[in-house]
Amino acid sequence: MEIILQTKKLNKQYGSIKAVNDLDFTIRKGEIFGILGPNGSGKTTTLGMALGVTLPQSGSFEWFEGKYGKNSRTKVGAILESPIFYPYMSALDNLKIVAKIKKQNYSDIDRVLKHVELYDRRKSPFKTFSLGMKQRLAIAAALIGNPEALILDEPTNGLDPQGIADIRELVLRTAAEGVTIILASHLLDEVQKVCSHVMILNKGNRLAIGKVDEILQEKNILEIKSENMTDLKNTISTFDDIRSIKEEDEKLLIELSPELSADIINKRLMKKGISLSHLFMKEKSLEKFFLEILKKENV
Amino acid sequence: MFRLLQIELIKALKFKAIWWLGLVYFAVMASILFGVEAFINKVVSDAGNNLPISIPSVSLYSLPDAWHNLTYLASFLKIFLAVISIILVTNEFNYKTVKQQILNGLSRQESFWSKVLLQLMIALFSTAIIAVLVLILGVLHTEELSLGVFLTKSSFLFAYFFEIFSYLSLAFLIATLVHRSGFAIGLLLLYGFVVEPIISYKLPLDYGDYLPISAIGNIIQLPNSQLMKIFGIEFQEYIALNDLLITSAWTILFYAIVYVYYQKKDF
Repeated sequence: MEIILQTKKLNKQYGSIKAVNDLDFTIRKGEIFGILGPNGSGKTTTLGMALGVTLPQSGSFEWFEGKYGKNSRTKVGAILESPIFYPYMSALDNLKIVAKIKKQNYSDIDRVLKHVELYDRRKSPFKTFSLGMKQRLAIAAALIGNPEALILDEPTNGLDPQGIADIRELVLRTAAEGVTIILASHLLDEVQKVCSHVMILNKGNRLAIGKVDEILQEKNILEIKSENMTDLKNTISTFDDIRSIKEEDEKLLIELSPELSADIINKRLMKKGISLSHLFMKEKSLEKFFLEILKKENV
Repeated sequence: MFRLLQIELIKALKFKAIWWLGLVYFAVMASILFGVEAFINKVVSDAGNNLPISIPSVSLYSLPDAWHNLTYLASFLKIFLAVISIILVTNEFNYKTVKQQILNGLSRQESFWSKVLLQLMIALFSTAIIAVLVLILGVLHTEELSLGVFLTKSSFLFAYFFEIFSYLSLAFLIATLVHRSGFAIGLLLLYGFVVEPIISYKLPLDYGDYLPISAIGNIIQLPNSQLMKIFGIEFQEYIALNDLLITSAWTILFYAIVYVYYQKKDF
């Protein structure tokens, strides 16, 4: 798949604090790529570097495998933190400036205003907009010139439930049109609902990266041991609701589908005449792990 | 370049305060230029009542001297232009739009150059006003009009443009570094009226002439009037290369600092 953004050993330090540490990641075309992490984990700094507003200490990044050269940035729509516009200008005038910056025709403005359902308010000054409308206008601005990638940093921050639903629906609608989305959020729930891929950051370090359903899924891992490991392994492999089997330290690690429990497995094995000498339920869930990080941050 | 110019024009022209400032600037400028000759002659004739010799009344408006006289006077109002420039530059920092522009795809160089273009536009705007006023007053008050009287000393118009552009480079530098319009205007005035005169006073000889505000002000010097000639005082009635060079050096330095700032800043 075509690469949208690739970073190599990206670093940024503020004083003695490492905001981003040797960060490598690759985002491919068509993904809704979530960057998940608590506040201060380096999400905004990372995006700021990729967008040119923050200068990296070291490391590099490349957009679109370099195919647009210097113009690559006009192929990326971005909203970092809060929506920023000239408060004294109307939505329309603000978007004219954006269109000029992106070397686009004014004719694109009507299209994006309609896309975010702000066309009727296009002549109102930006300062009269509600937060949800401001956020939608920011998305409209980011969509001018049909970008190949759209970057959103905490897009639902401070919005009411209706505003949150609107933005999420808008993101999914935009992604459906083939735009690659990069979404930074501290909300696990948001990333799970919206994203296809996720990278988890903490204190500037990459903790995990991959598909959302693989990484954020609840994984019930059962650790079992028996006198006769070969028998055990053969028996276990006949159960078709076991997702995976792995041998580790003379134990079997088996991943259970959600409806299974340690109890059921134990009973089944007993029926087959296998007694376990060790049975331990390990919940290997990044979700729990992530929530723990968040809890520590909040203390 | 034209694209950057359009962007700056939209931002400036949609900002109501700029229209007010521009209007006040024009009104003050026009009333000073239209009223100054009568004012000086009144003062001079009042003062001359008690003198044994009669003092000739001055004519500031006859071409070609009007170029020098009026650009000299007009340059005192350049603080208005600096205020306009400072407001438009600090707006970008207050609204954080300087950052958003880069997010939208404007390069750091383009951000810098668009603001240099803004200074150029303000200087051109002011120069155009002066040119029109000088031509109106000149045509009304010059006895013999010829191409020669229009062209002689019209170099003062270019000098005026350069003086304004240089002064705005200092305003741009201060605005970029402090981000707050009121603070920036205060600093510019404080430096021009307090700090530089003190430094100048402390410096030996005429080294003070090399300081930026003095150098910028020296480009167009006090015009020589008939009145002054009576007292045997002679003034510089031309534009000295030396003054242009000193001012150019400061202007380049100020823009260079801002350029580096735009390149190195984490927005």
